[in-house]
Amino acid sequence: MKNNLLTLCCFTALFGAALFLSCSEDDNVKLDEGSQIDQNDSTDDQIDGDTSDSVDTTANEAVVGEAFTRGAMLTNWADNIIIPSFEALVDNMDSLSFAANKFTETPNQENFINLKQSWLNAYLTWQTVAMFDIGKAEEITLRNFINVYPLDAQGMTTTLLAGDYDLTSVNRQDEQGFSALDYLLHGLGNSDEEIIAFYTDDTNGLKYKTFLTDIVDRMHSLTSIVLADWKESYRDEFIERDGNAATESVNSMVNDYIYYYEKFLRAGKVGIPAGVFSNSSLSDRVEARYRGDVSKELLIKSLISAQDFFNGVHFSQEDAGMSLKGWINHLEASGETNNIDSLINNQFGLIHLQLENLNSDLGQQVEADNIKMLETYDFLQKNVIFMKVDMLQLLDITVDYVDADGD
Amino acid sequence: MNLLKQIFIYGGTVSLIFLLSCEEETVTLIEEVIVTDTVTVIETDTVTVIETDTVTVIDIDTVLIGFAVPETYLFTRDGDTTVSYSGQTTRLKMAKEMVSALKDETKTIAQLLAMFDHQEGASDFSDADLNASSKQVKNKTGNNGTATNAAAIRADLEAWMTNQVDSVFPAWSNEASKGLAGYIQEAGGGSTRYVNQNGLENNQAVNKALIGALVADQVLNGYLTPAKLNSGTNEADQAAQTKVDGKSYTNMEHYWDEGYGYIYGLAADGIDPVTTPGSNDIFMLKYIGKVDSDPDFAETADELHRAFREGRAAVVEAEFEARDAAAQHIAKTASLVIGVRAAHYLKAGQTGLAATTPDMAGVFHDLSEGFGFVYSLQFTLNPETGAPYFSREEVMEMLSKIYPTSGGMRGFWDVTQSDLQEAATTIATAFGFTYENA
Repeated sequence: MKNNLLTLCCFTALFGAALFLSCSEDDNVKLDEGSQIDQNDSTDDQIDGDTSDSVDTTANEAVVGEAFTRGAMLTNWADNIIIPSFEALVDNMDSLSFAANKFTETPNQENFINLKQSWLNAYLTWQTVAMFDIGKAEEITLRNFINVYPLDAQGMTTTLLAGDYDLTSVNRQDEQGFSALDYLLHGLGNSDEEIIAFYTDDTNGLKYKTFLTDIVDRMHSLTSIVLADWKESYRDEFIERDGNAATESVNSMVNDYIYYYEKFLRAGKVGIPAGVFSNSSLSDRVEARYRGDVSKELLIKSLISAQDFFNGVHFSQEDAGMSLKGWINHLEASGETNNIDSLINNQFGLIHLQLENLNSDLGQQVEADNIKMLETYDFLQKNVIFMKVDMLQLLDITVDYVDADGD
Repeated sequence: MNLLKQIFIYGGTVSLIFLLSCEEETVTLIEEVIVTDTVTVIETDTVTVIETDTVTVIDIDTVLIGFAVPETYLFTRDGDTTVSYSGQTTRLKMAKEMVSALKDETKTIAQLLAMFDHQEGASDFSDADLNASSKQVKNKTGNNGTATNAAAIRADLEAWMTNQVDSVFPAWSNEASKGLAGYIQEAGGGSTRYVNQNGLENNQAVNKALIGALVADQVLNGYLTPAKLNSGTNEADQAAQTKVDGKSYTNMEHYWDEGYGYIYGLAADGIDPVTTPGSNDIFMLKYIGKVDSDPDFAETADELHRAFREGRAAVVEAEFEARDAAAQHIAKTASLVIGVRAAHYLKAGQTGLAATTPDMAGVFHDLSEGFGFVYSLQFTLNPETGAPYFSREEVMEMLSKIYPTSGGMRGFWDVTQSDLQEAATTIATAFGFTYENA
């Protein structure tokens, strides 16, 4: 009630002011003008700040002049970003599979180190596709089988030792994927020797080896299925569904993109460990917690991928094609210019600068100086507002997800 | 408050300047603004007035009731608070412990039933104050209808508790599958749910059914009815401000507050639960907050609390018509909360099942909550008809559609999307909203 009263007061004050300003022009004042002022006011609050000390990261001017069509954007996404990213991931999975087999055949330190490197390579490439939860990836819930963390280490160990497991069960999603490998390669002991000993153990060594190759095979096969589907059929369907309905490709992909940025990048990689959603910080919730020192690298890769997608930058190249940025430019060229694309790119730049202040092990960062993590979260959050509110309003796209109930 | 007044004055001044400097056509508009100001100012001022026991009635056409309504649930007489609902807080705490015990697989059915019909002094709860209390949940569950219905309702709750102990507890570490109880985890390493052989979480059924059977029933069909409020010599006592022996309140005031306590008894701030949200509640109050946060039902929390304050102020003034109008407003709003959540969870289940790879644990959880809310519909009260929005028979019929168990059907494992959508639409229509709003 106090809030309402205050709102009413503000409303009255603003309303009075609006009338005051406008009465000399004409008297055609509508009653809802006050609420419009209110809205503008709150938007100003959100945009406020950071626009002055801008860091220009808009490297891609290639799209200027190219006519915008949804089809051109979808084609660029599919052919130059999504499919090449999945191709790179499957390549990495081939290597990972090879390294895992080699290690289980000959569990020595050289093979172990190679396996760990293959895991990291694939994990980094995963960050480039994680946002593409559409088509076959969505259908088979790829992300839920590839990169759920925190790992249920105890449950995984029970499953592994029991032997007779079904990795396709939803109950096993937090016992496989990159986080399970992280534990199997870095978390079992304090040194390479201690960890390798689990695989050479007379009693359970075979079980560890089998589980290791089973989960690698599963990651390999799931990512291959998604890539094959894109190449064989989904690419054309994705591009042909170029309308503006909620169920068509552009709206779905943009929603998936922002959902990924909000839930998995902002919250999963930073917010949850920093304790934004809990009563205390949770340093053990960082990605790759057992390896530790690569959690920031994974975050950076994810962030660059998100920004590149926004700008339409081709996978692993400098060139760019039609993108959200191009679309914004196109719309703003024929209407009000708010430079939403610069706002978003500048914010990405500020986030990168902030990341320079963080330890390469985000878990250690939480323990040592969590304020910097919270600041990082705040920087990330600003782009949620710019993209989810300002950009979607301009693009006339409705958010298709809501926050979970929480109980 | 001073700041507030300053803003008012400022707002008034600006309008005044404007009035002097503008053309005639806009004067109508200005009047509207001024009226809004005036109404609020009256309310703000009269809050102070009521505390000193001199209520002035200001008759302006925009003021609907002839007495002051305070901004918070703060009522006093001779400097003492007249509000008391500790018995309701106690029962809500007991019910909450009982619900959480349904997820402790070491509990026996005897222990759970003892929590339901607690006897003074028995060590049923972890909280010693609850053990010492003479209150219990069971005798206030579903007891405002016929005796037959009351017995049937209590038997429903006890049956879910029994099923939990007999079927689910022994399967605590088994994976659930169609026809088999056990655990099932939500996708993406989400929460683990424990379901019976038909996919139902008994603990959710009990929890959400109590929102109707305990809370809504006690409030809407019990304490806030004219029959209860006017019982004995309450009306004359209220007119004469005759207090209960040894208490600061009258009987009627206390009845109204007991109704209030079933909803707000676990609020962090029972005096001002809307401005200061937050509570340990897992029953009605929790879901008032959820409904309120849906833009389609904005202001629900404020509206409901305001009606409680209006009715309570009316009781003090012995304004019984205004009191009953407020009670009807409460009935409508509190019933809506149950209706919205029932439809919401059925829709969530339908949406979940529509996924190519459904997250069955998530679906079961939504539908188990929906099951309890649908059950609670029989305790709602439509003030226009004096009957619940859905009768017990209609509720049981609906439950047999969304949780089919006859002819070898396995409840939520077998429910169809169209049956869920149909039930949710039926509920939405009865309350005047749509499936899309749910």
